[in-house]
Amino acid sequence: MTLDRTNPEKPPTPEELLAHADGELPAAAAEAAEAWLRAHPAAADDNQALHRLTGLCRDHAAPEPTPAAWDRTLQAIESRLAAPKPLPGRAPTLRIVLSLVAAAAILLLLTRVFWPTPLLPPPELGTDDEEPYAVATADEIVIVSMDPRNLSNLVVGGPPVEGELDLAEFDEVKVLDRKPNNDGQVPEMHQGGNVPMILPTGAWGGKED
Amino acid sequence: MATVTLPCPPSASDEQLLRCFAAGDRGALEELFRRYRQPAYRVAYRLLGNEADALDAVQDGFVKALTHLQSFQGRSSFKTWLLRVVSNASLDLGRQRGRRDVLRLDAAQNHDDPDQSLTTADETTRGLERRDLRMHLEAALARLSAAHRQTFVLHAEAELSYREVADALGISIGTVMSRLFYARQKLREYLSERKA
Repeated sequence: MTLDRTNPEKPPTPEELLAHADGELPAAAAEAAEAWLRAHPAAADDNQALHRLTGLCRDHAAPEPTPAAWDRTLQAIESRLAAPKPLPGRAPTLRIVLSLVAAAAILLLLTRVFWPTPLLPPPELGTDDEEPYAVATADEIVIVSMDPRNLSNLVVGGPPVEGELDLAEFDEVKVLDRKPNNDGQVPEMHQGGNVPMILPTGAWGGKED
Repeated sequence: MATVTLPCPPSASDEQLLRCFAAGDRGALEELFRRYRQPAYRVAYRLLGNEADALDAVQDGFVKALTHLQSFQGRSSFKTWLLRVVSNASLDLGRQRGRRDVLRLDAAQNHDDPDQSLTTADETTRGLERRDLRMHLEAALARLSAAHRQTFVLHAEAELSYREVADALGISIGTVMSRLFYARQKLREYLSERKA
């Protein structure tokens, strides 16, 4: 695993500490985590308690199926894999369906070309017909750690980001719909200087400033 | 001239077994099944909470993994690919059948628990505690979101490394790290609630 450590003085994040307990950090990062944990015994205990949950889960594994149950499962897999593929006789049916779809598409195209409809004005922003631009759902965004100096910036997306970023002004962003996540957090838009910021509030109780 | 395909030896690598399977060697499928049925079952069981559904998910997973080998293309290990398919099949099955109902039923009907075969009073108590704790764990896991549950189960039950979990789910290691931390924090919280 490669962790971006631009600041070696920065303490390890709780996620990194747990990854260390799982034996997943590379040597240098593991050493740093170990040193930090030695200096913070309370955090070390907490980290170990979280790590033990994995062992607890493994120690209380599912009851093993009987050999007969395994045999039945294997037989079912074999019979499903051996099931005959769709017969070639079905191909003409598929061809007929495809021909009908193609004919319908051509008919629709001809109708639109030779039967002109009056031009409709484009839908106005904010009407019910407008489909919100789905950026991401709450559980699709994970910010593992962030430099405190960058807290006023909203960072979303993955590298590589090519070209210059065109950031929106606060009054150019309009929230059409908001839904709480599993923890009851609701995204709120705030003005951070000239830039819009989206922060979670609600059950989490995030600061509104 | 007829072509004779020699059966794969049981010690063959997964890649060799897959080639033998593609050539029609029934023994290769048996060996792959024997090799990976347990981690696949453990993952499915934790995501579904009962044996019958877990075995159905294992069955679905093996069938889908072997019939869509072109999607696998050797980018990860067969084990990782299989567990990805099994865990997805388990989540699908759970959604179809309603996992929480299944969990309640299983708690009442779990007669095949090996813990119950223990004989001494101490062992029986320990067995009951074990079963009780396993049920608490399953109930706590059921409260996690599908993404967190799947990530945690692949790591804890199938013993996949962070890299393997990332490959299996098509996410970054950072996301795995974050999900595993969050999942365990939530599990601890849910288990403490029950204890209280």
